[in-house]
Amino acid sequence: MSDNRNNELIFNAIDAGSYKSAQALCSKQMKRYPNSSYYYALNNYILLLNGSKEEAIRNSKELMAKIPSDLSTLELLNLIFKKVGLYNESIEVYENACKKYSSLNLIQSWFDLSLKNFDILSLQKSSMALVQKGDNSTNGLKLWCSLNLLIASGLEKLTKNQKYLFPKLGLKMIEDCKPLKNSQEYYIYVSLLMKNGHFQQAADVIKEFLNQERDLELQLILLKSLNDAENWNELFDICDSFLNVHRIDDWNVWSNLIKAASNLGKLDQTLKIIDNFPIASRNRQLAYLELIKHNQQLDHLERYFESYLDIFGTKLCCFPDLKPFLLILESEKFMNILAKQISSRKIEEVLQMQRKPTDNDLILMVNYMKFKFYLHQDKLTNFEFLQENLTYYKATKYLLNVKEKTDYFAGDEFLLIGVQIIIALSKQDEISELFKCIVILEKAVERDVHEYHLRLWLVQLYSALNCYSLARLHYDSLKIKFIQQDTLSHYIFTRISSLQPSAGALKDLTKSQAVYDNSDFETSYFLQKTYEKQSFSKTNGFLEFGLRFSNSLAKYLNYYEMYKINKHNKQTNVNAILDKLRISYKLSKDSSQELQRSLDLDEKLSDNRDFKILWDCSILDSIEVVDKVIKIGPLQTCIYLRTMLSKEFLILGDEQQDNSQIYLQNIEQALKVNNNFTEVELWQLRVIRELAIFVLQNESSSLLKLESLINNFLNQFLSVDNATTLMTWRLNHNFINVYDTFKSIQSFQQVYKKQINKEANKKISDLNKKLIDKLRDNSVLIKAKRSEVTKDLKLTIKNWFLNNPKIDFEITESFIEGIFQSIKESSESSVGILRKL
Amino acid sequence: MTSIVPFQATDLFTLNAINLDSLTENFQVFFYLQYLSDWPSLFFKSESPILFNNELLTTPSGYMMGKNEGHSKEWHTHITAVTISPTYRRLGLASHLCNHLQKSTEEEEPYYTYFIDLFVRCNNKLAITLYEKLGYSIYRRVVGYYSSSSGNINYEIDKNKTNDDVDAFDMRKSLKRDVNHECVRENGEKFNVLPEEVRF
Ligand SMILES: CC(C)(COP(=O)(O)OP(=O)(O)OC[C@H]1O[C@@H](n2cnc3c(N)ncnc32)[C@H](O)[C@@H]1OP(=O)(O)O)[C@@H](O)C(=O)NCCC(=O)NCCS
Repeated sequence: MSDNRNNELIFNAIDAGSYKSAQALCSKQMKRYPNSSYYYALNNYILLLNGSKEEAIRNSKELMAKIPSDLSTLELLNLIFKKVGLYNESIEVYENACKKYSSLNLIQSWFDLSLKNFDILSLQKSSMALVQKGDNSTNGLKLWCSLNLLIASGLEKLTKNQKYLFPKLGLKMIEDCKPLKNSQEYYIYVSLLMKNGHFQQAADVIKEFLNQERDLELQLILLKSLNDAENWNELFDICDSFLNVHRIDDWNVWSNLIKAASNLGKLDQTLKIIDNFPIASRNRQLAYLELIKHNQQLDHLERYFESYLDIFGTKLCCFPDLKPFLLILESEKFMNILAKQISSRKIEEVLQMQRKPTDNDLILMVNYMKFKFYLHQDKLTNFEFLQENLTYYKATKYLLNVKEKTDYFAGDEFLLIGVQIIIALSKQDEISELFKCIVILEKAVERDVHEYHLRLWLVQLYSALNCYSLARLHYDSLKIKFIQQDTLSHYIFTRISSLQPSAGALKDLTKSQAVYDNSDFETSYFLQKTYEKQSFSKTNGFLEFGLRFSNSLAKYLNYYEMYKINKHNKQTNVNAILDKLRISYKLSKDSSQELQRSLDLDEKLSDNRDFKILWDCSILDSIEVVDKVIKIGPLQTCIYLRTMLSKEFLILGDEQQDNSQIYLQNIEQALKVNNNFTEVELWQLRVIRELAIFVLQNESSSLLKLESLINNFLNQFLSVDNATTLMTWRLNHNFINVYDTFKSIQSFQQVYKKQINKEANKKISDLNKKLIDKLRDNSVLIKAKRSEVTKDLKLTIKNWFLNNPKIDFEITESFIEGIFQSIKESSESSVGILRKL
Repeated sequence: MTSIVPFQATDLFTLNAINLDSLTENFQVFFYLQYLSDWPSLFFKSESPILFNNELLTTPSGYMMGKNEGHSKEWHTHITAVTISPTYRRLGLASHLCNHLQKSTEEEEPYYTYFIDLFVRCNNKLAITLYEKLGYSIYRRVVGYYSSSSGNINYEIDKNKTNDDVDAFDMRKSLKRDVNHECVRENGEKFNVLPEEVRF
């Protein structure tokens, strides 16, 4: 097996996708080294890559039965079984070898591999084997093993027997390690006590520990254990002592105190504890409201809202703090209390410009507007409310001049509320509203360059208006990097291949995706450190993080976009991306098929995207009517990815017949629940479906359906008469998807040429020609049509800003001109792509 | 409503409201993971319940990343990052996080450090006020600290040419163990050093 030169050649061939020559080279090696299990395993791996899945599995199982012990062979077999979803076999490979040979080296490498793969069950099994074989002169291995038993106890995929056994074994193992030395060892112990249902015992152990040493983690587990033990008396007493003796003013303590009190009916006593707490802290003020929520019998409810507002009405936390409690008081009463604050703080003088506002005035005013907006849904389409917000903005914008440049200015929230109203007020033609919003927010961002909500809204608005380069500008100004690329890149890359299939966008995507390059390696490196440094309370989080980052939906959606851009630009070297997409296809299980059981993190994609941040200002709710206008099509879910990949794999046709049938089924299923796709995406899926049915099932009626699909819908997607389509992202999205459909039909004809007879082939080609002719004819008209619309649009916008007696945003004509000019340049560059189709 | 809870690796997915702030540093993933694995109890966050789209969630409102390092009398606690989401500022949260860190490391068990320190950009007036209120004082000015933080030593830096935009103040607070307050000094703002002089 030490034939490095030949091994390298084989792997070079694999990397280049030349599986046939890899196989030939491997066969030679098998002949040369007939006793080496490694080349047999490698041969199976190549078979698998080359599409001969069943053969690869059969051979690998045969090889496994011989119980090989060579590390590289085991690693390959493990990989093969994992790739085909035979999870148990992937573990058994090592398990059997360790049982038979029981070599420490072998077990250690199994453990290391499990760390590398974030494979929780294998970690548990290998660490068990380590304890049995390894050096137990210290507790080290036993601690690792008990930790792994604890973590594995949380897996869904466990058998009934394992579910029962793991916590018990874990507890026994950690009890063997007594006396425990530090908080991290205690963490394992009490967590295992909890897993075994010994809640009270866990609480007793922690109490004793906390007498010696502080530890936040254990303190929290103490509260939870008493909760789970339903020992309300002790929970109440402990919380009381945390608050009154140790002065731990923490919401976890307050909320547990109140929960215990409700269960004990100790309302009056709790009220006294809150009253007597020496600091009028935010937690304390909210504890009154929490108490009322649990026991709706307190009188003078308003009083508690008043006392909170007296102190925190001028803090931005006021809105999110009170929002969950607004159900317990009628809205009108609440607004009256707030109005009293407004009048007692003489906000009228600020609005009349009789005095300069303070920071406190500003925040109170912002809170006032937010509560109004939240509690009166009709404000969303109320023009006067927009005027009111603008008045508030103007009255407070002086503070922009005195604040530190990098400090937060809450007044921008008036404008963000305003923008939402403008969009919600738009009837049919949303374009002029999008323009207005951009003008307003561009002005705001000029005054407050560091405000990130403004920037994110601008990214979204510009994307909606088909202005990638401008969206990009604001996105870049946010300096989004590292992990943020996973959670935020959807704001710029959603459906990008159908908007901007350019080399530039591909470069941006490639740069952004680099965050994933070393992430598995880095995470597993530090995961290992959590064992070595005994940071046991972090291990589970690392495993979860590793899996969620590795199986990120955003990551694979972005790879899909990269694949599509490459395809659009006729790049053929896409094997590396396709390999990644095949992984994601396996992970993107249709949840309906999996309803029977929930999936562990290693079996599914993880959606880490942050959609909340856009709505993190204003009233902390996404507003559907607004969202619909600004977002780039429906939410892309796992089903979206799975369906789109099925479509692409069908078109590539490089898989076996039975896979093609599954891909077709996936498309059929997705078309039944079609809320994941834009209209043109749905149309494309239908086209591919009919083609596939025609070819795979020999169903001739599909050709007729294809014909009607193409004839009936073409005008809809390639229309240049609708201003909304013409001026927004939909223009590129529709044209590029139709073009992609054209190319896909061509590929389909090529790949399945044996199954399509001459006559049918001609018919398909004619239809396809119709498609591309129409597309090219219409794309010639776009420029003229757009300039017509733009002329009218500019007039409308200027009129709205400059000659509007009802509303004055203090925006000059030249500012509007400037915005129009940059939008023109940016969107023309996007639209320019269509001329090259 | 604020609770202090230990930071977990998965919290890295939830920090946007805090980390999009222009003064808050976004580190590479491994850097956070290193802090979590090396100093698990010195990395924690504050969190609050929020109602978003009718769902009651908890959201991080700020966090503290700390570590311990140094030999003998230099054995100290270092604040690597403390930052608060704009919605939760001016409530005393940053002060609370700093105090929590101090309490966790000042006592004999398990850390028992001599002092706490941090670096702050000389132009970050808000943060400097915050630390002064908490009892920190300037120990020295690190000239060109933020222009060399990429790890490359910049030999061009002249110790006497100060610039608030790229210089850092090293601020310190001495703890119980530093009985004679040997770890702090008066008029530290006049004491200039180069970045390579502050490595432990
Ligand atoms: C600096 C920062 C951490 C302060 O957080 P915070 O929770 O608002 O701070 P605190 O409420 O504990 O403030 C304590 C004191 O600092 C001062 N301070 C804090 N923010 C201030 C502001 N915006 N304006 C004026 N003074 C301010 C005040 O004196 C305040 O006491 P007071 O509210 O009783 O007047 C926060 O603004 C932030 O995250 N900024 C961005 C990141 C950053 O700069 N981190 C520090 C890097 S070293």
